[in-house]
Amino acid sequence: MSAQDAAPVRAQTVTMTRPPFWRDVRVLRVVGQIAALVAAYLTGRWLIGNLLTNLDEQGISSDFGVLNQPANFSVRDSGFDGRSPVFPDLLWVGIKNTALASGVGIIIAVILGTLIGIGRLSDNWLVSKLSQFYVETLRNIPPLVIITFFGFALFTFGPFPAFQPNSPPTQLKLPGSESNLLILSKDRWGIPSFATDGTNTGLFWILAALALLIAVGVWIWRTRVNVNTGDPHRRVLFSVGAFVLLTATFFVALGAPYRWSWPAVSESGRIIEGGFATNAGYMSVTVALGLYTASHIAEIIRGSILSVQKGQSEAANALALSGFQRYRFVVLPQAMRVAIPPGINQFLNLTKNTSLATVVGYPDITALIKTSIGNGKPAVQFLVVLMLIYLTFSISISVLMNFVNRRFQLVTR
Amino acid sequence: MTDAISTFGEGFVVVKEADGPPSEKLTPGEWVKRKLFPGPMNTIITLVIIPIGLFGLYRLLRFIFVTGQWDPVSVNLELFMVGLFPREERWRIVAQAMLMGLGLGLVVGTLRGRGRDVAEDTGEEPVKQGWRPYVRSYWSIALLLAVVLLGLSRTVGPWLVAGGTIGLAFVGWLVAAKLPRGLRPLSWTLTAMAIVASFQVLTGTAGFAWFFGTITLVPVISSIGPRLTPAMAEKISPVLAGLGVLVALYAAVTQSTGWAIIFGLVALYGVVQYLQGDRIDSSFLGMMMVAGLIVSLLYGTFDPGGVDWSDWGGMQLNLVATVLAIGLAFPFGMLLALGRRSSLPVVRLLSVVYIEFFRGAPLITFLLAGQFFLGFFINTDSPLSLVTRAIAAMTLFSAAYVAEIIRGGLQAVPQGQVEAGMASGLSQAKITRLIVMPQALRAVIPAMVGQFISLFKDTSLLSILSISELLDVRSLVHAQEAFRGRAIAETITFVAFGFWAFAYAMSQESQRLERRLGVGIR
Repeated sequence: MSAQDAAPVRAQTVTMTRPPFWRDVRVLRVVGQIAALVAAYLTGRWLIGNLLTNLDEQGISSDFGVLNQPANFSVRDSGFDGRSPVFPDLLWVGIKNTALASGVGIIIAVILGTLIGIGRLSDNWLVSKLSQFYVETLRNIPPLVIITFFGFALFTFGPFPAFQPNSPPTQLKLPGSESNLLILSKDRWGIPSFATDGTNTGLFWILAALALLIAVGVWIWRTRVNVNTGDPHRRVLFSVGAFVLLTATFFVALGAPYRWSWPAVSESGRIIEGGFATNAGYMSVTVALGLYTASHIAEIIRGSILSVQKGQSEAANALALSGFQRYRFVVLPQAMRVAIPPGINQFLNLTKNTSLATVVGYPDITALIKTSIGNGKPAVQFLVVLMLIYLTFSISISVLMNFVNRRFQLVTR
Repeated sequence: MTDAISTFGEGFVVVKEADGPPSEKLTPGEWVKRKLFPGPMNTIITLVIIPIGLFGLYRLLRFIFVTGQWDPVSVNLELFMVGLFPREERWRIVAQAMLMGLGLGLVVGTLRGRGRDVAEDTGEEPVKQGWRPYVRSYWSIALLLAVVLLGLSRTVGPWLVAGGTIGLAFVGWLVAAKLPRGLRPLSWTLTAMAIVASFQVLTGTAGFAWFFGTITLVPVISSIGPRLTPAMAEKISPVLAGLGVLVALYAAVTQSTGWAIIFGLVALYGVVQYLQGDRIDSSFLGMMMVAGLIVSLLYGTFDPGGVDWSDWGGMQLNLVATVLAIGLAFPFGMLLALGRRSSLPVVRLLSVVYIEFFRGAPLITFLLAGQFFLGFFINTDSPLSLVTRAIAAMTLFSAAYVAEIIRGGLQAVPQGQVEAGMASGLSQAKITRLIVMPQALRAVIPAMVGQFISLFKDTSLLSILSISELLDVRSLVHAQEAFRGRAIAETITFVAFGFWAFAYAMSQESQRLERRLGVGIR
């Protein structure tokens, strides 16, 4: 029976005819990709070929060895010497300055942005309207204009006194002492910082690291106690307490390796001695970008809090959680999940925006490269290096972001 | 939302606000108690904010009306608006403003008309759209206009330009809204032509005049295309495809290799379309090629002259550079987005490398590259002007961002749409062009407006290259003897206000569109 049935079935089998090769998807895919590669290669070769020919005609070097030639200019407030080579010395100064501006800018932006974002959702009409006003104003003004405003309207041509022997800067004294809390002038600001004579500092940092390790251990121990016995873990109190106590003990035991250093106007009346001196360019870039990015972060925070369904809050209320507990344990963890990816994107934007520092003369990496090119260094190599630096940074942040994102994503089936 | 019915065209999702609890009417006393002093903490905050806020407001008003020295702005108003545009060529700017007004009026009128068509088709009552949404979106630009006209202008010129533009916008709106239904496609054509022609009048930089001339014809030709009957297309498409090839050959002989390659590719695509039996597309491409050739010959013969980009400036340049860069980046970004979602690994890799490279570094690095060596990549007879190179750099840069936006839109189109297309026997290209892209593009309109705003703000970076756009005009003003080192805050405030007015209006418009298109609600 089976043999009889099998025969007609085989007779009906459709004979597969191969399509002609120009309609065969498998062939077309390979051909298409080869064509794309060849086209990209030819375009690239054409462009690069033109570039090299034109550079040769203009007598501009296209050799990357120029990076090792001396920079021929010095950088203010950095101890960078014009005789040192561009690579790596100049780039290092630039990257450090970019990191300094973006790091502090991000801190300003996060703190202010979070406050304003929460402020926009406040029951208080004044608070929410003021927050909205802030966001709608700052968000729609180009960051470069804000930086220019700070740099020129506030500092260079602003109300502060010039820093010159005949016009001393404003000095805000610590009440009841001769120490300056703040020195204000058109182009230099001084704030207190720490100073050291170098004794025991290394040992102190090693011991501080040890204290940190112990604090982490305490954290783990308290978590375990909580899991095993159900007692409140109080791990923040315990571990931070342990860290502060230990560090303070080490600090005293080592004879206070660091002490306050107060800024003072030098004898010559031209520079700031002691403390942490910073210039107006740095202040403009950091504060302007901090304020600008805060408006974007505020919107992200607001959006993320609104994205948490109302039922979650209501459920927390039903469980008799306090207002703080409701935010801390129910709303914020869910809001953070939404806020983190765009938030990190904003950090990235802020870092890229520090490249605008060149208008106020702050020597970030872009400004230094621009100055080098202005000093007759070949543009192609320098700009390629600049792009690669930013690219490396952006890609590493993206990788980090993907990691964080995975860590915070809701685990779904 | 009372303007719930979309007038944007058929197929747009109509979003109606859900019925919430009725809003309570609060007496002023209750309002103050509820909104300003809801609890002890809030009472303290309110009491702290009120004096600080009042003091801030007092200082701001004092700065604007009493202490501010606005004469650098009012004396140089023209400089802030149009930069160092040659005086005898001013008519071009006036013509552009008028044409832009007309074009915008036509757009709004056409949209209104299409909304009425949709309402007619669905049998619903056409919903009266009030002026409130427009006020909410555009009050900032109106404020800018009022400040410029009432506060700063010293001559009658700006009044005439503004009046003429607004008048023409009204005329365009009236004409488009009153057109009978059958003529609706024509009014789209007129719209596009008015806007594009406005650039044409203004540019005159040879390459771009040619380019805009060709683009002007796109809407005309594309409104003819669908009217061809298959029989007609059958007859004329071999002729047109052949003509297309001839144009490509002609370009190869007379023009540069680059143009020949571009023409050649378009002609090749037309021929492939012809061989695959898509007569109408093939005819369309052939017509485009021939039209391009005719326009280029005409421009070569008559040479309307014009104003070189390097003479442009002021807020004018900021707006035009943004429109140009986004407009040119759009097709490029669309290709990149498709490439990034392609199933071919090599194409995908190339797109990803391009996108990540341009998104990874700040715009200023590409602008500097534009300033120093972008012109070296291609061989041109005369060196490209700095503004052209800067706009090219901005275009390459925005293409990467546009690509990511469109990719988001493509991802939002459900897979079922593609499958339905395959089930209907459409080719991959047709599925993308006729089914996926239209839906994806509609979904990304708000995000594209966002990108437009961001690019508009980024045009301030042109000042770093010493191109005299709005921010850079400041330095020109302060270089004048009378204003050296004086009224610095005032000029920056005016510049910031100029940027803010446009960016704010567009961001409000994008939020309105978002609500209206229901993006993120579905």
